[in-house]
Amino acid sequence: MTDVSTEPVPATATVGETMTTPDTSVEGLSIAKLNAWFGKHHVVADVDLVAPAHRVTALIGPSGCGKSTLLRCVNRMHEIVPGARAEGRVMFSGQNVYDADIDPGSVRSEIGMVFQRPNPFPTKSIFENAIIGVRLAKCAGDRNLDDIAESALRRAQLWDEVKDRLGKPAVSLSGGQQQRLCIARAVAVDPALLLMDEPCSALDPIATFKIEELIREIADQYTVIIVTHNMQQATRVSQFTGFMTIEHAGEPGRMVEFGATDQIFGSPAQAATEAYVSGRVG
Amino acid sequence: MPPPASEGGGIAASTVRLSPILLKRDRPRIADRIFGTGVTAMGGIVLVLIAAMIIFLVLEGLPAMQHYGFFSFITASRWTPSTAQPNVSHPNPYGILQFIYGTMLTSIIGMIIAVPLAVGAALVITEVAPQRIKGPLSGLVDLLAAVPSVVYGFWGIFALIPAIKPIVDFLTTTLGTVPVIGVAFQGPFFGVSYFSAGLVLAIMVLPIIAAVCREVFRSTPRNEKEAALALGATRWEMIRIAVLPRARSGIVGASLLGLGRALGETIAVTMVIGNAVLHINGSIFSQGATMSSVIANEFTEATEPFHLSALFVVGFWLLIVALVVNIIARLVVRRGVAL
Amino acid sequence: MTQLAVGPPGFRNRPALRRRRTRSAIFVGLLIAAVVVAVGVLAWVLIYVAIQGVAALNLGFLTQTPPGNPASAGGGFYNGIIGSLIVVGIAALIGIPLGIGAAIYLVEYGRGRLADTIRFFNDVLIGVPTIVTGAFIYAIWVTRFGFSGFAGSLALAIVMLPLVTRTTEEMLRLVPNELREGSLALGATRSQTVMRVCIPTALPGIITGAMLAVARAMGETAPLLLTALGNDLFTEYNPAKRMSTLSLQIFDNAVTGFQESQGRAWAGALTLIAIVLIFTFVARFFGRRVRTSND
Repeated sequence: MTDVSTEPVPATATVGETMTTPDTSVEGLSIAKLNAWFGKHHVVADVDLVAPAHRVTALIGPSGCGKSTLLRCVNRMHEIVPGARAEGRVMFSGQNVYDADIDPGSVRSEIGMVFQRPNPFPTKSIFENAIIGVRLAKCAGDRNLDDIAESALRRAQLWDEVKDRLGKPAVSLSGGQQQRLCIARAVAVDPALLLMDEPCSALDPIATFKIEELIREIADQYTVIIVTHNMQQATRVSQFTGFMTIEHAGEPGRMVEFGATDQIFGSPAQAATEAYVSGRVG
Repeated sequence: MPPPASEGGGIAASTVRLSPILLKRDRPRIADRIFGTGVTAMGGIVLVLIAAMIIFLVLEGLPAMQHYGFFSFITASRWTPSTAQPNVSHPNPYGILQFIYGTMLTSIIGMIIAVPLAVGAALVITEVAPQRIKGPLSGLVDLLAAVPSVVYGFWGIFALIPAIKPIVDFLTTTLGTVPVIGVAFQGPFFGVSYFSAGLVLAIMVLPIIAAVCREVFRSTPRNEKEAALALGATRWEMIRIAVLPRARSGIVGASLLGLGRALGETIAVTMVIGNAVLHINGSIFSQGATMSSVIANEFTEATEPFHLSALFVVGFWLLIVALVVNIIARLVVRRGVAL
Repeated sequence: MTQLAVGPPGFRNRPALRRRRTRSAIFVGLLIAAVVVAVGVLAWVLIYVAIQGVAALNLGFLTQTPPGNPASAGGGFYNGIIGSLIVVGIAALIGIPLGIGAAIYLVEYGRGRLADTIRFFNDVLIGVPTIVTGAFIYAIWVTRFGFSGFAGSLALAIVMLPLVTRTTEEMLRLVPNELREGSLALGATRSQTVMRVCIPTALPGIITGAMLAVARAMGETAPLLLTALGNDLFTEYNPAKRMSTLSLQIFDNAVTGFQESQGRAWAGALTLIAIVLIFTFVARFFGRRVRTSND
């Protein structure tokens, strides 16, 4: 069972109701009226979401419902694909990420992302992979690169396994270790927000277990949004869950229900949510 | 258990940021933009080069073209630079018809020999050879392309020509005496000839055609081959039914690529063709010249009036022919075939 | 009512099958003959050059220039070897970076019609006769600055450029997109992603392509006839002057009437083939390792 904090949680939002979007805290994220397209194809429609600070928010839904696309809109990775665009308000640290003059690169440097399949850079060592984000953003300050790497690798729970072979190529690690290295790479720059796109789907159960443990541990330092198709995983790691789905084929994905994980899985307010989490659909 | 955090600034772990993160606005990305412009410019060089080649060859050939007239180069029948005079513009002493003939003839001879050999070699590599020797065999055929053209020419003079002399002498005394077509096979055979050049070209373009054909044959869907075999087809029948029909356009494209290469080959041809530039010689066993060989031979000694300019006219036409053949070839051979 | 005619089982000895089998054997035999001819000719060329060349090849050949009198024995192609190194070296310095840059454009930046056109004409440029390339450089450079090794380098750079572009493009396309996304998600710019992730990952394959282009340039003669012109007398180290290359020297000496010159030409041909083959094999060896490590 997930830990539920004792503080008041955001009200469950349903489609059609406007959610009051509190001016975000320093960490945490709020999304309002987000729409995304691939060319003419509308894939995400009118999504509202608040991911509270220092909590893990899960996005669940059937495959193709747009949850990964939604995630990639947060750090403006969606627009990398030619013809793709997104519109809406994504409030992060008091600023709208989609403001006209915001530099997407700087958005991405402040938000960490972990991908579905581990993607460490094959020509670089474990150490180099861990600190490359720091090198790019030049945000080391007066800290020592070795210390940064160690701290990140510890947070990713990989330090003990690699501390004696930091110079070895990253691809010499197992799949689960590579994914933890990618997590270390993402947290090394101290992002306020960590986006995880089905981070365990390419891993075996033991590696998955380790990463879920890791997520629970770092949740108090970061705000995490995790896309997962594994409902049990959502119940294990998250405190809040958003359920997205497509009503009919060809329609864009919408956020049907959002609330505390216990409530979404225990007593969902929407019929569609109930159908999905009970396993009848999807 | 995460400690409770209130909205608006947290007091939790010490790693929590206390001040808002400012996203950079319009971070100047000059370096990135320069890089992007730079590589785009490098990409465009190719187009500039081809256009420039056409333009400058025309510019250099212009004096001769203006003096003698554009079409006279093709209608004049002899190439006699020594008779050129600065104020005489008719007849054109720089007739290039025999070079066009030479280029075409040697290339056609080369293709007639190379295409069947290349298709056969490619079929063996993809369908017949045991798995272990496919790679080395393929590499050996590719190696034919690595030998420099001057080496082929040198070997052509001293090894190939003596070896074919007995055969050619036999042909001139037999085929050469047949009425009508015998004209094309008449002797005397001095070794250097259109035919010898055609043979050398065949060897040089074979690896190119074979490499493209290899990829074409390799892309035959496996279940079509298995369907043929399951019907009891013999190996040759399977090739005939399942592999070759699909490969028709690919073989044509491969041949065109080879043709493009044969048209432009200079040094090996120069060394074995004899460089008889005067006029067309009827027999394939007689000496001749091609567009590229005459340029290579006479360029540095082009002292007659309009001689150098006329050579640029030859070069211009060679470029146009090569471009047309290559463009058609590339349109036929889809890019998926790596060559 | 028709009845299916069922013959006695016996698959092996149907006469039609025997005929088909023989036919297949004959045709396949012809195919094999084709390959044998191809490989046989290769062996013939290499062995012939080796036999002729070994006779005149010695250390002196590699370190001396030709004798003043073409009819006398001894001497070597030192000037050609040095010239080849210089001319091809400068050509590589020009052609390889430009080729890689164009490939980067085609893979990472190019979109739509323009990129397709550039890619198409890059392949067309590969098919342009090298004598025409030489004539072009003559027209734009030699007429203004005279014959020189550098003019030869320009011509060879044009020969190398499209080859390098094509192989580099193939190699960059093999870099998995996830690596690019990983880099961009960290906030890297496009140029940083290309230079720090894509190029290093594709590097072995890029080197292979570059080496094959160098091997090709070393063997070229035609464009150099009109640009570097050749210098059989002494060793020229200054690329601003006319220079000989190994390929030019083989050509010039092969067509003389003197047996001693021709002997030197054979030794030169052997040297040239050896250099080209070594480059080709090393490049292919590199390339094979790339393929197995990416699987």
